[in-house]
Amino acid sequence: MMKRRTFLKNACLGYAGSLARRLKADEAKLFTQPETPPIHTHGLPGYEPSPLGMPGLYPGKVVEVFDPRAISNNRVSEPAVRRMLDAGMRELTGKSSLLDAWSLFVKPNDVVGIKINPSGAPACYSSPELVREIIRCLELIGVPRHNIVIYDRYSYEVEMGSFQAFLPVGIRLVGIENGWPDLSGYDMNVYCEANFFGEWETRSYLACVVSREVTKIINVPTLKDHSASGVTGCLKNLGYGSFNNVARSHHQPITFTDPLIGIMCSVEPLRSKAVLHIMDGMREVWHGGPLTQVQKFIAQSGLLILGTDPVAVDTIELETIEKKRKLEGALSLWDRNPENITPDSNEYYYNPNKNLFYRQPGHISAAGKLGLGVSDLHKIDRRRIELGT
Amino acid sequence: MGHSSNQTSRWVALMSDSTRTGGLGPKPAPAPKGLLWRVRLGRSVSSAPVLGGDLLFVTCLDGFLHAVNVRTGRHAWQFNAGSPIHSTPSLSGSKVLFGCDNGRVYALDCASGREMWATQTEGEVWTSPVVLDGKAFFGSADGIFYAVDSESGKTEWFRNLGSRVYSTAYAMPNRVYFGCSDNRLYCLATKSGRVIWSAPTGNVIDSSPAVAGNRVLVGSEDFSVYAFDADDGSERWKFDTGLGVSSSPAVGGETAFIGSKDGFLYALDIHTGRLRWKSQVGNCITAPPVIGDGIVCIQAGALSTHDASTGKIIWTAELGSSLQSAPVLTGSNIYLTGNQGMVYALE
Repeated sequence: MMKRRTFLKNACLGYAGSLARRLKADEAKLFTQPETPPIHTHGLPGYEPSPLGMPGLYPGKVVEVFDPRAISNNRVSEPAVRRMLDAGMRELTGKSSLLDAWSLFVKPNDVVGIKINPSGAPACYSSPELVREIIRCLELIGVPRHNIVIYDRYSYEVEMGSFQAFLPVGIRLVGIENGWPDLSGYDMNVYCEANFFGEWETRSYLACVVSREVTKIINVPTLKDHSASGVTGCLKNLGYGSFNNVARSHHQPITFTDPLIGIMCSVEPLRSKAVLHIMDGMREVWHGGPLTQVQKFIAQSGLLILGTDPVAVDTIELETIEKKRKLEGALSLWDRNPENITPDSNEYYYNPNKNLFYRQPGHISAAGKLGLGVSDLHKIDRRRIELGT
Repeated sequence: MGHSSNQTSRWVALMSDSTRTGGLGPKPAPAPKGLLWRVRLGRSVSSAPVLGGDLLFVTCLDGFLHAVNVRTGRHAWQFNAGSPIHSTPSLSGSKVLFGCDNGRVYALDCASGREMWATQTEGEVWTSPVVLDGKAFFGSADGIFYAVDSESGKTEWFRNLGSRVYSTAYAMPNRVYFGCSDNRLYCLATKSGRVIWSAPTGNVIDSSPAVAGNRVLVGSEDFSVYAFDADDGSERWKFDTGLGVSSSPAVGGETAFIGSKDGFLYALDIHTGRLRWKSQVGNCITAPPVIGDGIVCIQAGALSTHDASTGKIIWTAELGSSLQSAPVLTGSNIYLTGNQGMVYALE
C-alpha cells in the first residue's frame, strides 16, 4: 500500500494535487474530508424499477435475532441458524407461515442471486450454514436449484472459504473474477463514472450476473468493521461487491466510500433486485476488517439482523460495532485524528487504535439521503428476538 | 538442463503419486539458487502441476491444459477445454487426465495433446482423476463418484451420494477412499462401487485422504484432522486445529503433515494423532504439503520449506501464492504455479 508521503509526492495530476495540498494543510488539525468529485451513473436502459427494491417492503424496520447456541467454539450451528432465520422472517413480515413470508419477496419463477461476502475468509465470511438455510427457504417456495446463484466478485476468496463444497448439488456458484484484470463478467452498459485520484480507468461496471441474469437478490453481508468505510454491511457488500474497479476510490488515508457506496446501490437494476438483507452476525469483526484473520478482534456474537432496508440494517450494525469498540477501548469509527493514521497495514491489523484511512461510516446516512432507507436510529423500528436464553 | 540419476522426472499426480507419501523420498531439497525460466499463463492457476519426462502439465482457469517443456520453458502444446479448470492433472501411461468445470473429464495424449476420450458429468469436476488397474476414479459436484475405463472413458460404475465431491480419491487395489460434502469419508469397492463403509465428521470434506498403514487420514471443515481405520471406518483419533482443514495430508514415515485454514502447518503422529510440531506459515493454508528428504514444502502466501522433524523454516521463496497448488520437486529443480498465473522453474 502506498505510504501517505509517497502519495503526496506522486500526486501531480490536477485533482489529486489540490487534494494533497488540502490534506497537508489539514494535518495540523482534525482531518476534513476533501470534496467529492462528480460521480455519474448509467443504469440499465429501459429498466422498470420495482416496488420491492431498496428500501423495500419494510422501510426503517430491522429485526435482530440472537441465540447464544448459534456459535460455539467458532463453529456455527445450522439448526440454531434455522430457528433464528425462521423467527426473524416471521417478525419482519408479520406472517406466521414461512411460505407466506418468503413469498412476499420471491416467486417460484425468479432467478435468485445470493450475494455473499467471502472477503475475510476463512476467519469471517458469510456462513455457509446460513446460506444453506436461505436455499432451503427458496426451495420451500418452489425456486428450483438451477435458478439459485451464489455470487461474489472474487472466486479466489470464495474458494478460500471452500464455499463450493458447502452447497447442495445443483446450486450455481459464480465468482465474477479471480484477481486477474478481467472485464468479461461485467456489463458495459451499467456503470458509475468518477475520477477520484487521476486513475486511468474511471468507470466501475456492474456484474452481468446482476444486470442480466438474476431477477432477485438476497444480500448476506457480515457484521464487520471496515478500514475505509467504517463498517461493511448491506450497502457495501452489495455496491462494492457487484461493481468492479472499486479499490480506486481509496487512496490512503483518503476514501470516497462516502458517497460512492450509496450511489452504486441506487443504480438500476441493482436497487430494484435487492429485496432482502440478512446480515450474518454469527461472528462480529470489531477491528481489522475487511480482511483480518486476528481472532481476538472477532467476537462470536450469534446474531442475525434482517430487513429490507439496507440503510436501517447498516445503521444498527454501525451502532453495534461502535458500542463494541467502545467497550474494548478501541478508537471510534468516526475518529479523525491524523496521529492515529498508520500507513502500515500490519500495525492496523493488530492495533485497534490505529486507522489506515479516515473511515467513512457516514456512507450509510448518505445512502439514506439517496432514498435507500432510514439512517436515523430514533426512526428505526427495531425489534429484538432472543432465542435459547 | 539435464536430468541426473538422482533427479525425479516423473511426478504423476497430486503430491507426486497416488500413495501421497510425498515427492523426493530420500532426495535433498536445497534452497533454490535462481530462476531457470518462468511462463505467464492466461489466468490464475488453482491446481498443482505434474511432471512427465520433460513435460510439465499445468491446468489453468483460462480453460487450457498447458504442456510446458521444462528444458526450455516453452509450450509444447496446449489444449482448450473451454471452461475454467481447477482439477490437478494426473498421468497414466501415455495419457494425461484432468477434470473441468464444464463437467467433463478428459484424457489427452501426453506427447501431442490430442484428445483420446472425454466423459461427461453433470457438475464441475475439481478433483484429480486417479488411475489404478485400468480404472480412473473421480468425484464430481453433481454428487456422483465415478469409475471409468482409463483407456476408453467408458463408465464402469458410479455411486450417487447426493452431495458434492471435491476430494481427490485415494485408490488401492480393492478400495477407493474419498471425502464428500455430506460430511462423510467413503470407502467404496473398486470393482463395483459398493459402499464398504462411510464415516462421519462434523462438516464437509474437501480434503483428499491419504492411507498410511491401516489408517485413512483426512481433514474436515469441522476444523479437525481425522484418522479412520482403513478396514472398518472406525475413528482412531481426531486432532483439532483452529479452523477448517481443506489441505490434504502428506505422509512421511510415522508423521502426517497437513495445513489448516488457521495458517498453521501441523505434523501429527499417524498412530496417535499426537502433535509433533506446528509452524505458522501464513494466514490460511488450503493447499497440500509435499515431503522431501527431511523437509516439508507448502504453498500458502509463498513457498516455504520446513524441517520435517522440528517444523523450523529452512527457506522461503516469495513466489507461488496459491490456494491449491503444490510444488514439484525433482531433486535439482522445483516447479511451481500459483494465483498469479505464473509457472516458475527454480534451480
